[in-house]
Amino acid sequence: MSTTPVAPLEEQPAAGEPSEAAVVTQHVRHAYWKYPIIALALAIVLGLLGAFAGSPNSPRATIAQTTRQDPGGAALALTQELTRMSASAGNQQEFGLGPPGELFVTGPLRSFSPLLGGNIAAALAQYQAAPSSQQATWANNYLKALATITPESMGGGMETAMSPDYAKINTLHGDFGPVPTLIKADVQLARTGHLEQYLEARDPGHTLHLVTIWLYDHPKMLNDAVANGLTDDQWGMVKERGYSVGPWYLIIPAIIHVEFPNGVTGTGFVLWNLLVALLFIFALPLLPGVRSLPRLLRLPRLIVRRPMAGEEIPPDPDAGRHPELQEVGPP
Amino acid sequence: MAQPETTETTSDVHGYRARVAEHGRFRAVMESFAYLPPFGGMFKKTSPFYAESYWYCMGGITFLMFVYLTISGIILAWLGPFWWLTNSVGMVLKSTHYWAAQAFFFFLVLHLIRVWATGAFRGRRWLNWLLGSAVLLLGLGENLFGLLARGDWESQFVAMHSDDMLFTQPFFFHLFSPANFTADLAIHVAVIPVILFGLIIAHLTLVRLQGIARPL
Repeated sequence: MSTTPVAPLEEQPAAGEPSEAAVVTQHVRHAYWKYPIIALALAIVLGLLGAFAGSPNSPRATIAQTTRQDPGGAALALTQELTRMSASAGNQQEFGLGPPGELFVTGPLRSFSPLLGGNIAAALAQYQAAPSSQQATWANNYLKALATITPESMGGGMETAMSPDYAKINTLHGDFGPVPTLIKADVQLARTGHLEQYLEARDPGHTLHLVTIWLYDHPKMLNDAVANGLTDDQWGMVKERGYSVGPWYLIIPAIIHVEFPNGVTGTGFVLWNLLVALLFIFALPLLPGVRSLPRLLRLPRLIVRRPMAGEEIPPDPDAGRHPELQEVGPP
Repeated sequence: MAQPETTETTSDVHGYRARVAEHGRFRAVMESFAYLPPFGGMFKKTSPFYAESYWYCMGGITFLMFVYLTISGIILAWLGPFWWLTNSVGMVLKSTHYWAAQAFFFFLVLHLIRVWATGAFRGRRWLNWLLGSAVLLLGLGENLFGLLARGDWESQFVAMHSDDMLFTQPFFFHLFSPANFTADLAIHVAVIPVILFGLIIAHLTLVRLQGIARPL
């Protein structure tokens, strides 16, 4: 065993970075006794917070509830599935979905047609027998007609998607073919919960997968998020719905997303975050000048323990194994 | 180089009686966990005097939070979302899990500040800085999948709304969809925690081997 009174090389200040103030490097018995006390205190605090403050728990949206609250939005979303203008239609390849019109409209109607009555089966047969160009014409015409019974945006705040007034849906007339019959029947399936059952059964083992994808096509989900200040441009990344504590540790990604050039785009967001991570991992500890910032700012003196006036430092129980341990003063 | 701690002298000075004589029965009992299996052979028994500051406890407390998150998470996953969303005990346990996650990041940030402010990233210790950074970044990912696996409205909204931000490759190369609650839960409870556990063990092992860095 070496008895040279010199600290190991890796514990010495780097060349040109002398220690500015004395630190006592003598070893003492580790204060492990504090840890059970800290753990107990934290357990009590966590228990109290869990019991009295709770945690965010907004009941999940269901297709039935959403459609009952906003049937016009459901009619709009389902028509957009047929016109391929919904969010899920735009992301069809990414989501690995089949045609959204078949998935969310004609598929469920075909499954439930025995329950829905003969006119639905006939309308479905008419729609499916038509050429795809004719199907698109009917659906597009109906989508335009829905816009005529949609209120203007309230304006003045975040832009929200307005839903057609479902009470006026029977007043629409035009070259729609069987589309209105199909949409209204599908809205009925959605309202009663059958659409959700169908989507869950269609994708077993992937709980809520198709349900959530369709709910995002419905304008209500994004409108609710806007109303609660939860979209990204509203700093939603660091907020929770109806709860004052949010994921504060995401503040850097949130700043990047809201304030940085192109941070709002997926690629920009990922690249900016990658740059910050690389600076953190490499520049902060390795770049000359930057790595010396803690010493230049004299931060260690705020961190380390120093003996108080008159305090005796306890003996090192392993003194025989720590011959190098001496009080180190300024150079 | 670490010395073996099985010599008679070492055993005597670290024995229960010696510790009682040194600083009383209360402290000797409270610190027993660090002298008995399984930790007895893992933890160093002494540390430099300058490291006897609460700042130097932050990493240990972060690890404690990880342990609590693991235990409470296993119970939550075992009993399922219906239990944690409807049963009063389940709701409290879920809430403590949420607050422990908040505490995990809080103490992790304090630990990070301590490591940076004392220059404990120098030389070969940079490797451990790298491992700690990986724990932080992977912890953020674990937190995201925890949010997606919560089973409430926020999960549904974030799953869809964050898609373009976080999954620039289509649904993670079509491996899974964030809208798929089953996949989110599996990743949150069975994939990321295992990697995190490995990283944390490697981090602690390096701390044990390299010792506590002398402040700048």
